[in-house]
Order: sequence, then C-alpha cells, then structure tokens
Amino acid sequence: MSKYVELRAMSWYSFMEGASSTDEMLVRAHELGYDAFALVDRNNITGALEFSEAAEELGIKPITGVTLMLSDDDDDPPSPITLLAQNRQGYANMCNLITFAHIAAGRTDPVLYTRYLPGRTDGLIALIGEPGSHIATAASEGAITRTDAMVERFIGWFGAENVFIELQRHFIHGDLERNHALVTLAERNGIEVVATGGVCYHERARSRLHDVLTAIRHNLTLEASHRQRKANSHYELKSPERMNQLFQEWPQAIENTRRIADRCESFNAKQINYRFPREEVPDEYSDEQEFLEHVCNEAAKRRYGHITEKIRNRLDREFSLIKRHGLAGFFLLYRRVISLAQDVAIELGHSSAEVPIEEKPPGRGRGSSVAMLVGTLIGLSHIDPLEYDLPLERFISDDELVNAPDIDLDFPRDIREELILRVFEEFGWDHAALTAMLPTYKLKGVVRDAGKALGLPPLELDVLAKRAESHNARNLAAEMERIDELQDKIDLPGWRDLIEIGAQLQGFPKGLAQHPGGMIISSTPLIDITPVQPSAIDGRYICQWDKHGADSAGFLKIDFLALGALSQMQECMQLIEKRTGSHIDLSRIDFNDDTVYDDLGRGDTVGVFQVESAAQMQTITRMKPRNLYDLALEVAAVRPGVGANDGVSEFIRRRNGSEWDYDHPLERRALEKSLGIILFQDQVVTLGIDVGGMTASESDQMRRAFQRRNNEALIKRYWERFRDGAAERGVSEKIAEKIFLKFNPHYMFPEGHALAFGVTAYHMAWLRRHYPTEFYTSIFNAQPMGFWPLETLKQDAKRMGVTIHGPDVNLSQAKCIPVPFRDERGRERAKRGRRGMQAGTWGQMDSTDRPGFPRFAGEMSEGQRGRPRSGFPPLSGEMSAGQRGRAETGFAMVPEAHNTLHLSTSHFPPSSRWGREEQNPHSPVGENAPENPIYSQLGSEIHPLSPPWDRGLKHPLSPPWERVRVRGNPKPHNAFRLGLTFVRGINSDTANTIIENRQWNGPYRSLSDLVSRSGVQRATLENLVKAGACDELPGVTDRRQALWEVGLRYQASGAQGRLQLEVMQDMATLRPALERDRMTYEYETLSLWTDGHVMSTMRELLTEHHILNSTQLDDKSDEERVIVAGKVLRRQRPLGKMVFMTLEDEFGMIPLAIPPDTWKSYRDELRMPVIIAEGQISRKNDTMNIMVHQAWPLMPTYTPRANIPDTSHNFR
Amino acid sequence: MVTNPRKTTSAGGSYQPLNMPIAVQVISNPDGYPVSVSETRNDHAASSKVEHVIDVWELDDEWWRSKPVRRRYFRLLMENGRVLTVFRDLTGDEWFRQEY
Repeated sequence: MSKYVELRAMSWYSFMEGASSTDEMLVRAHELGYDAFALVDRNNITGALEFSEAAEELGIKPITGVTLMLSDDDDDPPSPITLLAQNRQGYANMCNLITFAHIAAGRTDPVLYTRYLPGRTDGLIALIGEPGSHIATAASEGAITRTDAMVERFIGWFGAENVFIELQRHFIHGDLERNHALVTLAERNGIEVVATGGVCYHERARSRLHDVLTAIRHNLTLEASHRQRKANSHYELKSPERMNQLFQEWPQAIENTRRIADRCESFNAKQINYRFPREEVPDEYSDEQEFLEHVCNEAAKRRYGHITEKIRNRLDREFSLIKRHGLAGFFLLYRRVISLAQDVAIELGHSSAEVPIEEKPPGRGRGSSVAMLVGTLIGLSHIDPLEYDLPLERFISDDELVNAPDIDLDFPRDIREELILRVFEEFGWDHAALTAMLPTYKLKGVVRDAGKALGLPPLELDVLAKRAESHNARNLAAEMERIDELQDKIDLPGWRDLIEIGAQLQGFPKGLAQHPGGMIISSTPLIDITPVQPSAIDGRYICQWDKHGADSAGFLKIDFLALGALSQMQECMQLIEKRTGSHIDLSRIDFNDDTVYDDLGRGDTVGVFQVESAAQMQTITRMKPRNLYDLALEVAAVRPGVGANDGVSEFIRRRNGSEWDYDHPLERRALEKSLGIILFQDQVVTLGIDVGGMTASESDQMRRAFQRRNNEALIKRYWERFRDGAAERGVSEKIAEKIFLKFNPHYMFPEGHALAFGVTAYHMAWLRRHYPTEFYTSIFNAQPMGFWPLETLKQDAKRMGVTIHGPDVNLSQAKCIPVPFRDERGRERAKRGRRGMQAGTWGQMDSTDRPGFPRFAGEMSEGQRGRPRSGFPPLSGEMSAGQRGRAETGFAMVPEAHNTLHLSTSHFPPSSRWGREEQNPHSPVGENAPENPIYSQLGSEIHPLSPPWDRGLKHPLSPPWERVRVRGNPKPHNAFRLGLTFVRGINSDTANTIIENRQWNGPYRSLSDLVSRSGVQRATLENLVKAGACDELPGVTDRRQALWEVGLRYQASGAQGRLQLEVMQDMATLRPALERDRMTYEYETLSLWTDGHVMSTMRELLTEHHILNSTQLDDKSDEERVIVAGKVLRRQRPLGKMVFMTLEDEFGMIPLAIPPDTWKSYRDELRMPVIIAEGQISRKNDTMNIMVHQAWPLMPTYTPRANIPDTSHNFR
Repeated sequence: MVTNPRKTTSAGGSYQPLNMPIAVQVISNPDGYPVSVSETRNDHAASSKVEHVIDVWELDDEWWRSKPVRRRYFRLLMENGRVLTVFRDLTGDEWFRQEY
C-alpha cells in the first residue's frame, strides 16, 4: 500500500476551476492505486455525496473537505485555506463555515471571515500555505516574524495537531524555494508539513480545458488571461510513486498524508445525520402520532360522513406504517406547510377560510404521495386513493425506510411564489432552504463561452450557436460541417481547439442555481447538515445539494412546483364564478361526461394540460380514453420510460385486442392493470418484490439506481440480486433477464401521479368543453405555457366558437377579459352604430383639427376588412357631410344583442361625452358608462356605486369606474378581448398607466388625446395603432393614417412644451391599410391576427395549385401523394432520426414526418416559417402523417418574411 | 506635411529586445538534467560543468498559437561558481540560456 494519499483534488464542482468530473478523478485514482482520496472543491461540497458513493464502489476511502478564502475583514485580501472533515462534528462545522462564507461576504465571491472560526473548528483539519496564500508568499520572501505570527493564529484556532503546512510541486518557478521555506516555518513552529498534489484535472490532457475555464471565469480571452492561468500543465493527478519521488527530500510530508487520511472517517450520508423534522403538538395529545391520527380522523368524518370499514382499514394500515417509520412529524410538517399555502390562497382571494383544507386543497399533490389517504386528508392531494385502489409500496413500505418519501405539490404560480417566501419566514433560512440545481454546459453555451475564450470571431460563433441543431457539444464538428459558412473552418486553428475542448466541456456544471421549487426543511439547524447559500433571488436560500444529493442525503424534500395550468384553472374558475355567481366544485363534476371524452378521443386537446403535445394527441386518438383511469394510463404512456421499450405501441395493440401473455405468472400482480406493459414506476418496484424476491425498499433502491449517473456497477449488482431472487422463485435466468431488461433509466410516472395529472387534464378538458370563453381567456392570460403559440390558441378558440377581439385602448384591461354573447351581425351593427356616433361626434369636437382630414374607404368599409354583410352595404370613399349626417343618425343602428351596451350610442349623453371643452374627469359616470368594459360585459344588471366625490372624498382609493357591484349574468360569453399587455412592448405598468388615465379622466377621445394623455412612448403608441387598439378611437379612420398622425403628434417627454400644435396641414394622404397590412401589423405586434390566418390570404392561390388544406386530408388514403402548406408550429426529433413537424392552416393542423435524407436535402426550406410540403399519406395505427419528399418555402406574395414571426418550437 | 511621429524612437529607430534566449550546447544525463553547458562567444567556445541543479520548472503555454511555448528551465550552479539558467525548448529540442 502506498503511503501517499491525495488530500487536495478539485472536481468540476469547483466551478470553472476544476477540469474533470468526480468520476473521472476517481477512476484515474483507482487506476493509479489510491486507496483514500479527498475531494476539496472551492466554496462548496456539492459533489461530496456523489463522490463518496462512487469512491466506496471503487474501494477508495472518501474524505470530504472544502477550499475557502479566508480574510480578517473587507480590507484584508483573502487567502486560501483547505479544511478536511475528520468526523461528524467536523462536517457540521465545515457546513457552518461554508455557509458563513457565502452569507457574510456576498453571493459571488464567498469569503470566510476569521471571526467565524472560534468555536467552529472541532473535528476539522486545516491545510495552510498553499501556493498563492499569504503564508506561502511571506515564507518565500523570508518574512519570518510575519509567517510565525500567521501560523500562531491558525494554531490558536485549530490546535497544533490539526494544522498542516502544505507542500506542492508543480514545476513552477519558485516551488523548491518556497517548500524549503515552508518546511523551516513548520519546524520552527512545531507543526507538521503535508504533501498535496493541488490537483485540478485527472490527466494532463485536460490542462487546455482548465486554461479555457480560467479564461471564462475571469471573462477574458486566453491571450488576455496570462496572469490568471497556470504556467504549465502539471496540475494533474499524479501517481503515489511520482509524488514519493517529488517529495523524497521530505518523506514526513508523504507520511503525513496517510496519517491525516487515517484520522478522517469515511464521509457518507450517515455522517450528515439528517433527522426527520418534529412538530410540536397541542398538550392534550401525547405525541405527534396521536395528533396526526386525530386530525385525519376528523377530516375523514367531514369528507365521508360515515367511516366505512374500507376507510377504517386503509387509515389503520397507513397509521401503522407512519408509526413504524416515525413519519408522524413529517406529515404534520406537511400539514403546516399546506396551512401556510392555504393562508396564501385566502389572502390572494383564491380560497376561503370557511372551506376545510381537504375540501379545496390549495395545491395538488403529484408523485407517489398521492397514494396516501392521510395525504388526501391533510390537504396534500386531491385524489382519493381508495377510489382507485392505489398501492402504497412505492411511497412507503413495510420494511426499512431508506429514503424519505417524496411529496411533490403543484400550485398556481402566484401561490407558489408567495409560499416559498412564507416558508422562509416561518422556518428561517437556517432551517429551510431550496435545493440546488446544476445548469450544465450544452452546445450553445460551449460555443459562446469557449469560443470567446479562444478569441474566435463573435459573428461566426453566433451563427454556429444559432444554427446548430444538436445540444451536444460533442457534435460540434458535424454541426459546422452542415453550415455552409463554417464548413471550411473545421480544421483551422482556434476552431479545431473549440471542437476538441467543446467536447470536453459538454456537461460541465456552470454553478449552483436555484431549483424551481424543491425545498428541504429540518428541525435541527440545516446549516449543521448542509451548507446554505443565498440564491440569485433576494430572500431565498439554497442548500448545496441538488435533488440527487438531497435524495442521497435522505433529506425530506418538498417540491413546490408552479403549474401554469393551475393558475389558468384558477382564473378560469374565477371568471365563471364572476359571471354565474356560483362556484364550481371541480371534485364533484361529472367525471363520465361523454362530450369531454369525445373531445379527448378526437385529439381535440389544444390547451388541455398534459394531453396537448403532438405525441399525446397522437396517442390519445389511438387510446380513446372513456374514464379517468383510462386517461391516467394515457398520460402515463407518453413518457420516455414507456416509449423506450416501444411500450406505447404494444400497449395500444393489446388494448385493441391483440393477444398477449405475461413473461412469467409472477408478473401478474404488478402488470395486470396495464396489460403486461410497465407504465408506472410503482410497477418496477412490485416486479422487484414479486419476481426478484426483493424487499420493498430494496426494490425501490433498484428503481432509483437506474436513474443514477455511471451506474453500471450498481445495475450489475442489482441484476445479480434480481436474478438470484427470481431463481429462488423458479424463474429461469432467461426469463428473469427478459423482465429485468424492461427496466430503464428513463422517466415514468408513479401511478398516483398519473392519476393526479389525469384528473387535472380531465378538469381542463371539461372546462374547455363547457366554458370555452373563460377557458381561452384564462389560457391567454396564463401565457407563456410553453406549448402552443397564441395564433394556434386563437384558431382553436375560434373552432370552439369563441371570438377574439383585438385590443382597444378604451375597452381593454391589462389582461384578457371575456365579453358577452353577441352574434356577428350584432357586432357589425354595433361597429357601424358606433362609427355613426363617431362621425357624429366628430362634428362636435376638435373642430380646429379636422378640416380637410381625409378618410378612406379602407377604414369605412368593413367589407374591405373581409366580411361584407348583407344588409350593410359597405360605405366607400370619403365620407361626405351627408353621409356623416346619416351616420350620425346611425344611433338607430343600436345592436340587437341586448347586452352589448357599450356599443349603443343611444346611451351616450352626446354633449358631454367627447367634447374637449367638457373635460370633467368624472363626467362619464352615468347610468351606463359605455367605455368601461365591466359595464359592457354585464348587461343591464349593473349598479355603479356613487362616485367618490359624492361621498366627499378628495382622493378616492379606487377609481369610480371600477367600483361595480355585480349580480350574476349566467348568459354564456362567447368572445374575449385581448388585454393591452398582449401588444408588443407593453408591460403591465404601461398598460395600467393607460387604463388608470382612462378610468380617472374619461375615455380617450381621439388619437391626439391618447398621445397627449397616456404618456407612453412613441414606439408603444405605434404598436397600439398597429395592433388595432386605436381603431375605434373617434377620428381614427385607418391604421396607416393613424401611424402618420402619431408621428406628428408625439412629443418626447421632457421636450419643451406639451402644447398640441396644429398638425393637420402636415397630414398626408396615404394609401389605406389593406388586409395584408393589418395582418402583418398584428403578427408583428400581437403574434396573432385576430381576424384571419396567414394561410387564408393565400388559399385561393394554393387551391389553384392543388395544394390541400388540413380538412381535405381526412379522405385521402394511405400512400396517396399530396401537397400541403402551412405555418410551422413545431419541429421535433424525438429519437434523433425522423423529424416530426406540425403545420397549421386556417382550418387545423397537418402532421409531417421527415425522413433523415429529406431533412438533409431540404433543411433550409423546412426551417422557414411558412412552407409547402409534398409527400405521401402514411396511415399507421390510427394515426396519419405525411411522409415528406420535398419542401419549398412559401412567401406570402406581398409579405416580407420577417413579418410572419417564426413562433415554432424547435427540437426541445 | 505631417511627419510620422512614430518614425523614430528614443531607441534610435528600433526596439532592442531584452533578455533574448541565447543558443547554448548542453550535454544532459538520461533523466534530461544538464551535465555541462557550452556556449560560443566571439567564435570562442567555452564549456562548463554543472555542479548542482538548484531548481527545475516548466512553462507550457500559448498552445492555441501556431508556435506554442513549451520549455523546461534549469537553474544551475556551475563548477566555476556561476549560477546559470538554461532551458530546453521542448518543441524543437534545442537549448538556450536565458536569465529568469
């Protein structure tokens, strides 16, 4: 056995400093014959658990430590120190010190102030004097007094036996001299020296990557980072023999490495010593268990009314398991967190204190926790596990509990944000922290960072980063080969280095980030068991384990996840409640609604949580679920873990009646529900138990082992265990292998999770079917949701009979709002009626501005907007005085729909409405203030409160227009109006400015009024005009004309004088905006075209060329040749071969499948936003694709490409 | 007419590089350590034996350039009492003297 032990090695968790992974380091250490090894990353112990697990696999004793920068105060330049944990106490102290280094000195450059050392050094060994430290520098300079004083302080803090002076040898100028000085210093002060390798990478070949990382860390190029980089490449892991040779002059330095290693206990999760949290219980209960049982029994009585034997038995079984594993405190803690969430929900107006928590849980449980009835009763989950007979094993088992059970909770976004802060408030940052996440380098980041360090031209790097399709930097050469401009650069210096180093950098962690919602909570101070550091967001703290680390450490981890779908659902319910006056209890809706299952079975699922992806749509049409469990199976089927074994197709085949049998009868209990196919995680566990003869926890460990990195050895061990257990049960090795091969590392849902998601999906599909207006209004407001672009949602809404009105500066709120039922005819009439009013009022106001102001046919004629209506001959040409007069008498054209009040000019008190001379800010308050959308939405049953000034208030707290008492109007809405924030460049602040001004000072009376009053920037005004938000302003006749007018009227704030000057003489006569202009304007500013679809503008031409639309494909048979065209919605390459694309036209969607060869030949064409594709219909397993042979880009004849935004989702 | 301000320098028209490596001949032992160093000055070759190697260090840099720098330096105490720094250019296997 070699004496030398490496006590200082940094891995890639020393972010941008270590150039090898922990595994690479350990494998190399194993090859070189090390039997003990210390990982000392800078400022963190993120890699410690992963390292220790892998080290023990290789028979290497893991030692954990950290390198920190130490300083007396802000004026003292920090100097490095390395700490090694000898035992549990040392580990706790190390966690404390790392935490203080992060908390005290700021997030980016942690420094440990020496004042934190006293009292926190027990169990720690300090290595001092590394090259570059104060001691090493002073020793090299021969400053004896200074160095002695420094060493004396360390001895004071740690004790002489725990302080070692480090000797390193990297063939750097001055190494020998420094080491001689350090040895003398140690002898003089009665302490020992120790040799270390100062290892930054596992082999010399990585030194270049280390140089690049150094340059990236300092935001410099390689050329400019001479001072920061190491002088040579001798920082690799050297063999013990080589170290013996290098330090032969000081053999005690080598011997001391062994002594230190012997003093340090093996680091592992046990050393962390995490204990489940405990909760205080009211005095009348003897312990947590009794209190929890009481809480659950009471909730069960409320929920079920009568406790049946089935309920009693289930509860008793769960209570006994909870007792056996000591989890009562764990569940009570959850209950406390849920109560906090409930408080937040009540404060945000989403819930009420009167509703019991189990009745309307503030969040929704997901994951395996859904299987617990106790969970349902404390408000963790909305699924009743009894109803679906959910197995408990995956969540909690009878035998030893190795890991804390997982509980994941989904919340609407706003509740989650607040809840996280509330948990920090409740428990404190030293008892609660978010888990960390490790963002890693992928191709784009590699190209940008490493490319910059190598000094490559930024423009070319940008081309590569943007046009590369792979995310893996190991494919850089292939990606460059494909890009014309870069093809010839592959072998050039610099680029060649990028390809080589990029491949090494792939997968390197960049730093610690905050997990979206994983939290750990501890009864003992958290900083004794893990270091905690502030996250980038103020007020939040993260621990230094990612979720795998937290899992290995056995931490109780709560995942608070924000689910956009829940935010949407919440808003949808509120909108329905606002309109109908009653709350819908989604847990009591009809779960056997055929219309909903019909929608699902047709794949009519755009916007429906969890079943809206292209893959889900294709599967759901084949599975045609008819009940909730079917839906759960469907949700579970479209997971990588199921797809990996072709499980989906096989499952559907079996479901459709094809014959099958178990590989062994022992599979029956696990796989009966899913026809012999593994669809759920739980089934892997059950198979491990039933076939492999494992215990439940052992089997769950096996399941987890599949998900670990570098798990070959581990999986081999589990295979042997599974094989032997199966043999004892009479299963042959061949069959056992066949079953074992079904397990894979890809993700699958637990059964309870699939059910929970299935239920949420059903809720959404139900709301979409029965309350489409509220559904689409809320889905627009919940964007971004990540799936479909707004244009697609709009088209889908139209198909469901919901009309979308464009934004309007006088009618829109910041977000979308439903507007009442009215037929198209009514709408047309309403518009006309209002125009009449506008023209009429035109005569009464602003007379100085108007003479000679031309109006255009394009504006006046709705016919030119695309929908001439019989009975309403389009007006054309400039409106004559007579016409204006007629229009004025157009008051008669009051819309028939009785509740579209805002469009009825007969309600306007004309003399006081629009005239500038009568700008009483409160004047519009009347019976029915027409400009307020709330009035217009609610029909006749509106009851404005008395205006504030009537109540003697000088500064009312809320604007009078908004204070409306609502009585329900149950009439279905079938339209909604886009909010102002949907206009590009308008954030909620700008929108609120526009709205508040309107509310306090009356509606905008003209474009000029809007320009002068709203105070928004010119670009924003232009966007409003382009989006059509000013179309209905009196005096606005045409968007092009209005843009011109904005230019004339806009005065930058701060410009001298706000006086409106006469501008009419500068108005030009412009060609009116045509449909195509409005389309491009709206695509540009709204990302959707409210009145049409880009494909409809070209339909005639396409039809002439026999290009089919999406509805014409249904009756085409297999292998028939077709040509189609559409706007690209998404491009995906799920298995890395065939590319799947979805096109959209004005009628629906068209699925394309592009074989690799076609993709290669037509890549550029297929990457255009709008394309024509020619291919053959392929019908397989009830699905249809067009197998593409050729493609062409399609340019709308008059529209520059840039105006059709490419909103497609690509290769995600 | 504007004169070129850079045309002349205080160095008399050209920069004089300092401490440029000077080629020497070195005989080394099997470990690569110098045993003797010969230098030619004014057409006169002078050789000296190495008494002791005081320090050894390496430079390995600028690998991204067309001519990377890879040198192994030796600080030598010669038998005549002189301290000399030489390096072996690991890219071309030549020896140079250069003060460090």
